[in-house]
Amino acid sequence: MDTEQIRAVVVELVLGMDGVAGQVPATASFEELGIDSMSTMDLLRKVEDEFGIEVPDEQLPMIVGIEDLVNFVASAKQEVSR
Amino acid sequence: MPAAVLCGVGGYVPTSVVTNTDLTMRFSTSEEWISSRTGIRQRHVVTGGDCTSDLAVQAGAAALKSAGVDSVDLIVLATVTPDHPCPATAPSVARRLGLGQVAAFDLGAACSGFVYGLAVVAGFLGAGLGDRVLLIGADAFSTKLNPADRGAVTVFGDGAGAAVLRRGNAADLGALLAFDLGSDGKLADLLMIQAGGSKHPPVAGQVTTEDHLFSMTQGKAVYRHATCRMTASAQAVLRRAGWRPDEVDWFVGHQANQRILEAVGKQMGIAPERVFINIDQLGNTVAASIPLALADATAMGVLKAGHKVVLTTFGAGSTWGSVALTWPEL
Repeated sequence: MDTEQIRAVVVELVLGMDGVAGQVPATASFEELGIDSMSTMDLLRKVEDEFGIEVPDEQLPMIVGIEDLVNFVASAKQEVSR
Repeated sequence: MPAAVLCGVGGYVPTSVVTNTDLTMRFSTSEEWISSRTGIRQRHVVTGGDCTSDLAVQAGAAALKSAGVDSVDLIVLATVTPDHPCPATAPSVARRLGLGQVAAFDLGAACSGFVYGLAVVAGFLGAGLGDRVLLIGADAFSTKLNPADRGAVTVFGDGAGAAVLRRGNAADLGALLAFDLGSDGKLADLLMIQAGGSKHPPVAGQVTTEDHLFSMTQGKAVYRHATCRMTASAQAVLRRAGWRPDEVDWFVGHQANQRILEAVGKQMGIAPERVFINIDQLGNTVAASIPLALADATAMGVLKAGHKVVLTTFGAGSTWGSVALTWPEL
């Protein structure tokens, strides 16, 4: 799965969040999309389930937008495939 | 089959109230920000030197009255804010309640203290060590909060809740039917007060006042672990009780954050109107949270005899646990 495919799946999951509608620019932060810190945790749980990965607590402050999340998933998947 | 049976509940909160409006004068925040993220509109706090035992005595007396009894064989006080690091607070509470030289000890499992206490009490009664127990969850956590930390001051309140349990049978209304308990010490620093224990003794110049206080530094991670653990634990206890989620009349979770309770209810498939909420009035009262919710729900008449009730919690440690019980005639 390449980064573009990961991004498409993440955007799909973001669009499934309550209150998120319309355009979801890849550069947007969760806050800009109206997803607050706790809803971000709900989104992460869905991402973890979807990709079979685990986001460690220490990574949480670094994942503040879609691009951060896509990059994290891509590197986690790369780790798994090694 | 023998079982511990709940036969009385009581609660008490101090009279002094801190509203969200009060907090907007202390911190850069708004009432909307606090209530949308926590569900909390006000919290009660101790004043004038009142401490945990003062709360525990009031709640204990209310529970004894609810059960219609004036003696017990054991008092367990679940708390992480004892009056002193040593001795335990429970013996003093027993004396003030006029319960004589009854066995009494404190139990430290933070927000899971009351649920852990129910399991300990069920063991005591099941082993035939006594016929009746008073279990109190009480905390004056406001005395431990870093006053500069918005996250902590916003969330926590003080209070006490209590229950009387007796030796009975699983068929009795009020019987505790299934338990699930767990912990993960890897998450010890998630919710921690650094000093006050043996690891950081009070050596002048080495331990600051702030080290003795609680700050909410990892709110996101707390939300994440709490929803995950509470859901898994509640599902485990449902399996053990043989109940389907749609059979549960009331899901009474630890009142840490309304969003956590809603998320857990949703993940479990329990209808939102079956998730009991009183955090708006009390905030997170630590070990008092679940028994206070039970006392409130009883006073409001929402808990009725025969209801299937599931209690679930997550707290510092980390610790978590759940209990399935039927509700008695109170």
